[in-house]
Amino acid sequence: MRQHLWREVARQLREARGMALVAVLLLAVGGAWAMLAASFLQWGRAGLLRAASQTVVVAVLVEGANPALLQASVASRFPQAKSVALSPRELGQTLAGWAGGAAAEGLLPAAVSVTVPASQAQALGEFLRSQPAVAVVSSSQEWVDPALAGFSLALRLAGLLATILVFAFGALVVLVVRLLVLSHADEIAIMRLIGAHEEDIRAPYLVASTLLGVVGGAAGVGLALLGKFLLDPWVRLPPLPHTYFLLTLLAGGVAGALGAAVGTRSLPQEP
Amino acid sequence: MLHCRSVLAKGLGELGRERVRARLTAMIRLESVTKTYRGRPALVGISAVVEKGEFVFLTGPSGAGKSTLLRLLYRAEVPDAGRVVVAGQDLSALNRREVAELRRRMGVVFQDFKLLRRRTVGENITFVLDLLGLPEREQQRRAYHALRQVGLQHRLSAFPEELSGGEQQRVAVARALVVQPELILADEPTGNLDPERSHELMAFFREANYRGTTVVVATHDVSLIAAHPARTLVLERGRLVQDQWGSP
Ligand SMILES: Nc1ncnc2c1ncn2[C@@H]1O[C@H](COP(=O)(O)OP(=O)(O)OP(=O)(O)O)[C@@H](O)[C@H]1O
Ligand SMILES: [Mg+2]
Repeated sequence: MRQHLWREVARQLREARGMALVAVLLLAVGGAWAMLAASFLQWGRAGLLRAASQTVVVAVLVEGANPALLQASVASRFPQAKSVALSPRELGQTLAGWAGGAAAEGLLPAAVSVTVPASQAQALGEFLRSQPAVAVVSSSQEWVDPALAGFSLALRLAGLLATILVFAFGALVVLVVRLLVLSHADEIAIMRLIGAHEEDIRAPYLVASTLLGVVGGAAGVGLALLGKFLLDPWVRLPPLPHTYFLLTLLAGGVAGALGAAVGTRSLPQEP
Repeated sequence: MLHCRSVLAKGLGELGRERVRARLTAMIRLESVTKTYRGRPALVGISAVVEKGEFVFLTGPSGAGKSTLLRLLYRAEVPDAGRVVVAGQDLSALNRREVAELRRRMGVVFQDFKLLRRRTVGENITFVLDLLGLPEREQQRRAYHALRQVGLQHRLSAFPEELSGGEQQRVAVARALVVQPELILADEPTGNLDPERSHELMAFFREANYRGTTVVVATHDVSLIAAHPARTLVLERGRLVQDQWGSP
């Protein structure tokens, strides 16, 4: 069966080339997207969790107040806290990104940045707000929690999108196999008449579709590696785990095989 | 030369008949077989036995039911009444898998050839050998020999539609002969051939018959039967009207 099987597989892939290409692209984009998104989001969440063990509370002082005095009172109340005074210039640099020209040096007050274990953040915030020298208090906890929730949601959405793309691939395979089977109806009838079993008839469709899935998965792996390489200057993603690669190839192969199984479930019948 | 060959084959056919007579058993048994197409009877109460190793012509005018009878024998159709037994198996009792197994042991030459249009001539032949599980080299070797026999070894990589009707018919014959079947069912196998090719083809069937293959040839060409006398079943409007030796 080998030679005939492979030749028929090649013929089928040639006959379906346009749609087969679209199917492979769907799977490749879906797989690469899933791998990169999962890797990026997990990396981001791990970073956030690491950062969230310590909370940074920034207190902006009223004009003319002395940051050193505030640092001293914080140190006496919270021995574990580490505080840094931010000069108006440093504050200006930090804010320049979004405050623009208005944040010019000299117009800004001084500020103190205090890092404490997350458990003391609440108390520190209240303490700072009670100080007359402090004008505004801002805690990193205010955005860590929503950010974590956002990451979880994004991770789920990315997974959903990837699943949809894999399903779309499977559906396209069903369609392509169905069209091929219908256009081969006369040959299928002849194959039966000269003694072919049902599995002899189905095998090429199954092999071609599984191959398409594995090739699509492999293209996805290639695309993911390319994506990581291109993103590297901006985002230093950790190396993509090999289990992702295996999973993508497996998902592609299984989606292809299932698609072909559905597509060939009813072959043209004889009386 | 050609004549000589066909005379020889005929002689061998007689000899072969003698050799198998000792172990005669039915290859085909038809018991009151009736087949109707939408109320119009195509075959009516056909009963006949073809022994193993026999050579039988099936003749009659167009529309008499020759093809229908052959279709019953390779179970492309099932009878409305009666029984069709081939190689000891009641065809209506077979499941799909058993039908395929039975067909692998037959060589059928279809009236409309039924070549696989997406496959080359060579692949059309090796396909049936592949179903039998023969190794690749053996498939190639046998396919080449079968095509050389019908004079088409140079068209091995052509596609069926690139061949003339007669050439396609010879490929169909090669495909039937190549599996060295127990039973050959040929429906108008000389329909598109010139007389010389027709007689050559009959010689191949005779040779196969000598080696023990049962052969059933459906034809409305009485001159073919006259040139190769054998047992002849005559159908007329779905009825078996004569069972005789030689042309009607
Ligand atoms: N699939 C079918 N549906 C309806 N009627 C059919 C079908 N096949 C055959 N018939 C009818 O059955 C009768 C016998 O047909 P069959 O093809 O067996 O004739 P034949 O002897 O092979 O003729 P020919 O010499 O022209 O090949 C014809 O009247 C034909 O119209
Ligand atoms: Mg006919």
